[in-house]
Amino acid sequence: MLLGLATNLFRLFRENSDVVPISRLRKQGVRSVTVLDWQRIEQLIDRAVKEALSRRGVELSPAVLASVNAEAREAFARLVEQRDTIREERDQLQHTARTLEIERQELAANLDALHRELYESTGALAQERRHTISADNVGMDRRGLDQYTARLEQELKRLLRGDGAGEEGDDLAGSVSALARRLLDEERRAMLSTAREEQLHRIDLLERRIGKLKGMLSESERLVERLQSAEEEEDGVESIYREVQGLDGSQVNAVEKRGLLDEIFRLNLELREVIQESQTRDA
Amino acid sequence: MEVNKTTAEESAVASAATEPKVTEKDHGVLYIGMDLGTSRTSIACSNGVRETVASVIGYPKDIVARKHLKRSVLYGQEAFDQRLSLDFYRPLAHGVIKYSEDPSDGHSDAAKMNLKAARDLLQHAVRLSKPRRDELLYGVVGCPAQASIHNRKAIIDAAREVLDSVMICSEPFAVAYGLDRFADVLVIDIGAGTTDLCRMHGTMPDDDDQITIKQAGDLVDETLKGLIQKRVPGAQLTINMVREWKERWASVRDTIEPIKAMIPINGKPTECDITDEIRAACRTLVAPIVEGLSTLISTFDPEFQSRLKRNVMLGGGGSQIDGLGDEIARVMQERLGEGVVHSVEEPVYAGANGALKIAHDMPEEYWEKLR
Repeated sequence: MLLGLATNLFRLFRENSDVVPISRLRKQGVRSVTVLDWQRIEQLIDRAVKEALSRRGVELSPAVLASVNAEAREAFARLVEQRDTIREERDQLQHTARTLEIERQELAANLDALHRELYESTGALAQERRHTISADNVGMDRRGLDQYTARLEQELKRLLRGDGAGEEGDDLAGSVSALARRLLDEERRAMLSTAREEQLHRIDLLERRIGKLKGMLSESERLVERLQSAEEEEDGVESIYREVQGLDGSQVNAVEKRGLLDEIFRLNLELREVIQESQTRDA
Repeated sequence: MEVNKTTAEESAVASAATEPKVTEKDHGVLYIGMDLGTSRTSIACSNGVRETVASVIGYPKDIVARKHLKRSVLYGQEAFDQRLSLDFYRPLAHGVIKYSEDPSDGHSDAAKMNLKAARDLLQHAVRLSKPRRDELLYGVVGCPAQASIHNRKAIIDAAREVLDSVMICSEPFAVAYGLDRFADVLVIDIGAGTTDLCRMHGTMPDDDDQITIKQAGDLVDETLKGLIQKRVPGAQLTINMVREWKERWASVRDTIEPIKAMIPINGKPTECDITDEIRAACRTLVAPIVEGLSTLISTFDPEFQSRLKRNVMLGGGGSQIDGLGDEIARVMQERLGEGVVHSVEEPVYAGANGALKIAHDMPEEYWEKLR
């Protein structure tokens, strides 16, 4: 059995050791390495067992001591074997951690982008709200319109007088310019109405976009925090209890305690009922 | 700017950032005992985790702060250190959630934000317990002896979002339960916002057995600040500074090593002796406490009053004031004829430890009914 264990340990060491080329060691400035053979390791294990027993003042018979030593070596061999498994798990966890970190960074980048867009949209909305659409912003302003119709009338009169129209020509020029004025006014009002509608539409779009951005922002922040806490907390710390415990009836004051616990429960139950009633009333 | 929604959505689907699948909670049960205090919130759990965190919380004020802090919410000391960049909240006052006493107060923006802060703080405390996803979370939360129904509702609503089942109980009662003292004992729990006194006589204490007084740690801080400013004109003080000095040097003893603090006076740090001010500020707690004790003792069965006077348990953060127990006992002696005061071990965790014990002892069917 000793030979089998020896062979096994040797194999385990070979399989679970890190192979480092001598050339790399040289590059690192390593001139000599410490080598430990499996026989020496076994001796060290035996010595560790002996010292531990000695510290505790325990003396064992040779047969029992040999058995303990054998168990210790087996346990060591199992640990060496496990190292490979642990290393794989560690590599897997590291890979997962890297993936999570990349995802977290992407989410954080998206979060930044959302923040920027929200900021820009909010600025655009504020600007849009400050900008008042009036008739003077749209197309020709009133002064321009007055000047235009006055010129129109003037030119028409000049043309008609040139053709010998006289007073009738002046009247005609007046009617035409009035008509032009009315048509232009109507057009301006229509343009104003359209411009205002477009502004309202832009405002509405911006407001909805901002609402959506805020929702996305909130969700992204939640995801980033979830990732962060997942990295930090992993699986949590296990409770010592696999089942709900309850009071140990064998305790000296168990009856007294049970009475108190019943009362705590009753008060909490009453509280829930009162809360439920008030919620129903409010609804 | 176009946001890369597709990448975000894919990440959300592919990674652990998605909503966790509904996990069967069959691995066990984690009990959490919580002391939700004005100044500090402490937890004690059945996985060995014990944590305490300052009951403060902050949210970045703007996008610049958000980017700098890399988080959307900060808690405890970290929130305190960064408070200038945060919308900073101390959501509890006098032991209760602010604005929760009167439901008509609850609709203002300030009230809503405060409630959110209280909820986030409580949920953070639960996360500090490092729970596993596959374990049931059963929690007991201690609250002031005379908290109103609205305040209790606020606590339960917040706790139910993160716990599978939750109960609340009076904080001083939790302290007594943790000490296995159910009869002939008076518990004093000195917090920041309130001092709770509770008379235990073998059954659940009712309203007559419990008194809440507003004189507590915060009042000592205010008093100390006022006393120092009176004696040291030009002293530039904040409540946080004096609180730090109190927590470091608090004492009611006649003889104390001189206490020297560096106080900015017109911008120049100056060493000042504040021994008398600290002593005087801390002593302001004694009279109201003894007054409360006197009420609870004098209204008790006269055959058992002496037992109460000889079994006063002093707990809470304020119990760490040096000599306070002895001073209370001395004044009780003068006023009530006798008084023996014992300080609890681990005052910071006494309430949480007691709540944990209650959680542990609660029958399974009770937890199920309150899920």
